[in-house]
Amino acid sequence: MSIQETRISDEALTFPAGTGEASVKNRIEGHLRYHYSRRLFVQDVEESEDGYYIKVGIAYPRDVSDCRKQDNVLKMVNIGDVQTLYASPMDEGYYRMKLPDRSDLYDAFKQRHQDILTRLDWSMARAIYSKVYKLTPVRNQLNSVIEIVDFIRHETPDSVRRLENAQTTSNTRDYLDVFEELGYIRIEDGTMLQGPKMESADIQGLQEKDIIGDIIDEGYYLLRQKLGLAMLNHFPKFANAYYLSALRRSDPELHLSVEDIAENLQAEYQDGTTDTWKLGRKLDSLHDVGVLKFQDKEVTSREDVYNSVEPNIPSLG
Amino acid sequence: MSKDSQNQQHTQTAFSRFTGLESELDCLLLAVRNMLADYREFHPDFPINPGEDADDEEQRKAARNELKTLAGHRSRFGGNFSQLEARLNGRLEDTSFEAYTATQIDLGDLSKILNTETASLPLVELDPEYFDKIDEYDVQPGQFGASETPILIPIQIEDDIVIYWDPLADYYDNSTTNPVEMTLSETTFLRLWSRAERARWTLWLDGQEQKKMAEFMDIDQ
Repeated sequence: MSIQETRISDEALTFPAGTGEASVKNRIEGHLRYHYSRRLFVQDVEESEDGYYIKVGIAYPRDVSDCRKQDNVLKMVNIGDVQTLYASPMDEGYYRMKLPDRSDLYDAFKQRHQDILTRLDWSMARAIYSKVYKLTPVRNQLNSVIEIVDFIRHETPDSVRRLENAQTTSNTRDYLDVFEELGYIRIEDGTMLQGPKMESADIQGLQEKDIIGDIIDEGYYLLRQKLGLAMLNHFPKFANAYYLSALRRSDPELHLSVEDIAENLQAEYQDGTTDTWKLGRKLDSLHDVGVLKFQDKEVTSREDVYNSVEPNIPSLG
Repeated sequence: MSKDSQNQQHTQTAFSRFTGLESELDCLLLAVRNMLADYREFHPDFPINPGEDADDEEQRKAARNELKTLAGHRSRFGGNFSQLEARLNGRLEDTSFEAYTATQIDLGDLSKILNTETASLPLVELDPEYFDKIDEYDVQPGQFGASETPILIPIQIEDDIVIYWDPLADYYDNSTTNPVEMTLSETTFLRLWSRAERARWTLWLDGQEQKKMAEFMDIDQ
């Protein structure tokens, strides 16, 4: 059978079965690429009794050259599990796959890419929290969390109302919902009690900084999404604008220029912080607290940070 | 002027007209831009201006946005030949020009495109194994072993050698501001271009009087 027998019409791809899963991949990949994106790849083909299940991903290029060595390295980032397409059998050994809209595939890709970055930011937040904790913007934004932890440890049992009246924030209740969800408090009839996690922290003699570190570790998504604590991923994002490339190259010695960092922010986070002076100030802060090294307008890893993020990273492509 | 000497002259000047890549994510956009800019040099009445003569930033931005629309370009997700062909032809509807795509065409067909005065330079996809054959840059595949499909513009086939432009070779070239002239042997090029079963796409433009050429080439879309 020749390739001419593989066709796209009426939003469906028709192809001959050929000789199994590898053959199906070869037959359809180029046509799906033509239809959806030059960067599409067939990740996996699975034959079942009722047809073929075809998992597709997107491979996009990122320049991960070392700015010192100028070694011209291009990493093909593979975002897998973007969508699974299904092909049902037709007559005479042919299969038919209904094709979802391109915009659906694009949305699925964006979501998958976002999920990977969010997990990376979370891993980074865990790794560097104790370092960035001392930066003023981080402390300011975590002020409510710090106050609530102090209140739970030293004032409970006491009424929720007292805490609400004492705090300047208007959304104490939202914070308490998160603390209750995470098991740090219990609320019974308007009275706040220590939850099992806080009792455990007290038994272990944990310091305030460690407890807040655990809360961020466990409640990263809740704190960010429900309470809008953008600072939680603000510094991880700037750190990752460097570590993304180092991790993709598996090279903690990689050196990037400030311009490379700006390109990573733009390409991966759609963050337009391209002014090298402004970016330099962020990198200075991260250098000062030991998250990365920033000297002579070049960025490289801190070994402890690289090593603590590296085993926990989701697949970065 | 003979066709051969015209070709030679075209090869020399085509490279000089090509613009270098600013971001590794824009290979398709730039390939389309350079194809159109080269074509307009010989066909001034071609109606799509890719911004090669833009005077200011606003015009350059407008031209770039049009290219993005034509190619269905999305950052990271990329563009595709399907929309590119359809949208080019949408824009060319009432003109004598037309865009074509094809798979499984051979070097003879490619020579015909290159030697046809009314045809543009073609955009050609090769197998990602291409990246192993060149020294200008090093490509590391991702976790599933997949790579973006290389896109090139062949400019001349002569003495069993294909002379072509590779946007990424230009991007990584630090030695000169001029585009890098790349070459592959005809045999290697053919093998990477037309592997059995696997569809590698070629896209080009042609004027009306040559439309027949595309028809006899048994286009598969």
